[in-house]
Amino acid sequence: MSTREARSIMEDPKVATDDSRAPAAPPTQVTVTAGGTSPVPRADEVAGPHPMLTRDLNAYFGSHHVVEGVNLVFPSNTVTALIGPSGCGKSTFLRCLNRMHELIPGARATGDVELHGQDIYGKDADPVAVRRAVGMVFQRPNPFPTKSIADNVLAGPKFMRVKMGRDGRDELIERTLRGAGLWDEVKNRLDAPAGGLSGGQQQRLCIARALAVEPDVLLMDEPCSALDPQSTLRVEDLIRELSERLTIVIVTHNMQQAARVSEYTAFFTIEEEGQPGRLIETGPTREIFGNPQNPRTEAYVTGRFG
Amino acid sequence: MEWGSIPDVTPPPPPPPPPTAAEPPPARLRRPRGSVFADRSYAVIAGVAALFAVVFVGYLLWTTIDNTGETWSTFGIWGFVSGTEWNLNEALFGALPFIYGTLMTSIIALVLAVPASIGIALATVIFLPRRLRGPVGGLINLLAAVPSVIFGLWGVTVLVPFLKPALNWLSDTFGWVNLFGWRPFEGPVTSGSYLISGLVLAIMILPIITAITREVLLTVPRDQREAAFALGATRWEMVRHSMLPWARSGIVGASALGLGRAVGETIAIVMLLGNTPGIFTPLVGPGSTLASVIAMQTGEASGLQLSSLTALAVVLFVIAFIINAAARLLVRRAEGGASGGLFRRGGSWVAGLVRAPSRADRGAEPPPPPSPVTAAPEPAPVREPAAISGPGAISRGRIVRSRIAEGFIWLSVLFGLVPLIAVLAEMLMKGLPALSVAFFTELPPTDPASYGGGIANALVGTLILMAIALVVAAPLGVLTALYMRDVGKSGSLNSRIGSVVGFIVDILLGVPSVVVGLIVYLGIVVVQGHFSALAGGIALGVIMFPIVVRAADEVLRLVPSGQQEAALALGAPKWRTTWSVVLPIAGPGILTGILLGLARASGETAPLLFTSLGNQFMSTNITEPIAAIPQLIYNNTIITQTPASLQLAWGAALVLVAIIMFLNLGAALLARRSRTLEGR
Repeated sequence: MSTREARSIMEDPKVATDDSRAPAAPPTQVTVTAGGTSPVPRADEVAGPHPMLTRDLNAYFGSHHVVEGVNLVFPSNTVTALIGPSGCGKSTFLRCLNRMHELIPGARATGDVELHGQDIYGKDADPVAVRRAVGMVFQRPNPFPTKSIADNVLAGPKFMRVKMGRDGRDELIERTLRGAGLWDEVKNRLDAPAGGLSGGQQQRLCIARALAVEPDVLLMDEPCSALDPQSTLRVEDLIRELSERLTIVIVTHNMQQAARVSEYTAFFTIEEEGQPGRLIETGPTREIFGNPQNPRTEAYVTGRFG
Repeated sequence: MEWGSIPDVTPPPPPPPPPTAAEPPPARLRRPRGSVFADRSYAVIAGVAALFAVVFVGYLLWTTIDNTGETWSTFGIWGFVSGTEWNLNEALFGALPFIYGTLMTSIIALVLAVPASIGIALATVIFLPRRLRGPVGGLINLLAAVPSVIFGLWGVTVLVPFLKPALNWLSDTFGWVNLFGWRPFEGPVTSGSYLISGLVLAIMILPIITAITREVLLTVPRDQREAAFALGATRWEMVRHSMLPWARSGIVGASALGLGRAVGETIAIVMLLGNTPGIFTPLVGPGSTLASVIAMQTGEASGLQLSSLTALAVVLFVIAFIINAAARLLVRRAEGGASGGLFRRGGSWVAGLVRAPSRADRGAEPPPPPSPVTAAPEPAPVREPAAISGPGAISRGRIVRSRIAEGFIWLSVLFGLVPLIAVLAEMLMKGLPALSVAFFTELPPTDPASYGGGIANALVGTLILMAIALVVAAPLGVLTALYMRDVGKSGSLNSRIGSVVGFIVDILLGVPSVVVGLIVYLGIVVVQGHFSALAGGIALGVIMFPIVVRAADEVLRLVPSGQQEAALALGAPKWRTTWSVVLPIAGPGILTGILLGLARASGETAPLLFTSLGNQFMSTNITEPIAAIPQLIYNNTIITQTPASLQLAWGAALVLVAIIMFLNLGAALLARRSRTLEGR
């Protein structure tokens, strides 16, 4: 962890530390106390289960260091927004959380990402299984265009070779499409190719597709940036709704969106071109926007920088 | 003619008003007459070149069609196509045995080549380690550089003896198989057989199917791949559900292009299929195809037989045309759809950038206080966290399935590499000992049983034929491409003529080379009354022409329009823009196309059989028959076939491949250079 970051955390009186070996997803609320060898800075007020946390996460493209030493906890059933200027590494960081990052040639990550206490970069962790547990929605809607709407929803379970009867299939399709707020619009044309849907519908279909594998955590990489304002609002409603059941991490460029949908916000930035991106400040969204502790955060959220 | 960005051209400008001291001289808005003339000349020269090429091809086609009249009037179209006999003595000519032969060899080739090509393409796109992808792809492309006649030589001397026991076993074991009266494996097993011809054809069409499939697979957008990965798909599952459906029509198109190639393949089939026409004959026995019978009989045919051979060529052309048209449509649709996807992605990427610093975000006022999230968090639903490691993480069945699929992909790579290595190794082992100084300076020995001698006449002949082809095809091809791409403004008469020319070029691209040979034979050799190097060179030029046009057209299309507009905006005339801006950018790419076309033409055998004929002696007279290396290989393998002649053939094969490699290498280097230019 860089000294600067350490300092920024020190400066934040509310930052608490966490014993990362906390029991995995305990059913009841636990108050996590300070201690442990590796202090993990985290959003304050978190006194509950957290399915996922990162410890000293670094990401590289070849020899280019793009994310440096990020420690972050994602509290259960909340939305955490990652904000920051372009190129600050927030999307890369997000892609490290389900091992999508390493799919890019030359890309690698170091550090820990723990999912229910298991390190997803551990020796015997399988990236395929990790991605099934940590779902992802992309910037641009990417349904499988030739498959039908129903088959798009079923794509994940099909990979998993989940045995399902007809009823089970229908039930899953309806449940996830309802979950994604798309059911009423497409229930009469489930067999139509997904390529025919509007952009907003396609994105909600992608969300439904991600939900159908029942992930523990859902990552969203600027899910609304390719959508019109109307569709954006619908997806934002959906994100808030889903957060009652799911832990969501969302990268957004739109600070109003971060304010609208997230409980917690993490602000990333880079010193200058070529430097790795770092986590500067985290906290409840309202604190980050209303009363940021770090002057750089304040500069960014008030629009003076970035 | 009017050029897009220069507002002051063709309509003769009104007489200038008498100049006065106060006004700026209006002459500034006029262009020197010479400049206008140069522009017009450029358009006219390019247009005439394009039309000349088209008219010449039209003339050849007309002679051909004209020659088939006797056949149609004797047998009728349907009678000819469905005729089951090809009997010189009774003057009975029917196409069906050859159609059967063509379809059978092509289908066997396709069945073997398509899965293997998909496997190799997948290996070179994702499954192989990154460092090996380029080299393996390059090696497979090397297969395309080995001329047909060398595959024939290898097939006759290596593959047939090697596989004959396997065919015998097949015949002994499955000889009883009877499909509605057709016994595909019934003996006796012969040296020429459908199965081995089909296998060699498969190896020959492998590179083209692989290359196009690879291109199409590379157009699968990254987000489609990631969509599958993000759902927890293994590599194979991602391929199966994300890449293959996306690339499907492109793969079908690639296969159809391969089929088009297989249907027209001539000299290897002549050497390996046994040239015995038959319908529903066994696959372990001999047959004959449309292309092979044309190659075998045209040189000595006349009258009704020549007419019927020409009619076979028409049938072959129609089959190849239909296949190629369908293929191009499919490939274009696949790649077009993909590039549309790219465009869309680009658009949204830009939108993302634009959105990021939008006014709302950067506004001076601080963002509105975040709405307090009031919903009290409910206790987390209790659910078993998914296993991300250990035996339960991915089911055994999925792992097994993925392993099997990957195993098949490795097998495909072997299927492509083993024959390549076998051919190259054989060529080096048998060919190197034949090489000496005398090999390049002496004529072949007159006694076929004696060793020694050289291929001087064939080497000189091939170089002369290539030179004629180059002179015929390169200037016409480049000018035609310029006419299609550069001269016509969209919607103008020129551009409409240009698209017709483009269509004809596409047709030419799919004409089997033996048909080109026959057409040139009818249009030039028969008319002149004798075989000549000129006719052979023209035949090669006709083969080369569409390759040059298409390559040049592709590169011209890639010249950034901004560059041309920059020059035009400086007041440069059209021809000057083309000469100083467009051609320097497109030059290396155009040269690449010319070299590739030349490489292709230099390995052709079939069209030379009845145009330049061949010559035992040294000749540099282009009005006389002339020798050529591919033809020498063919003659020494099939007609002479002694140990001495085979050694000479392998040596000649080595020289031929060296020439082709040299041309391909030059093309590759130029292509790389033009790519770096693009990158800058």
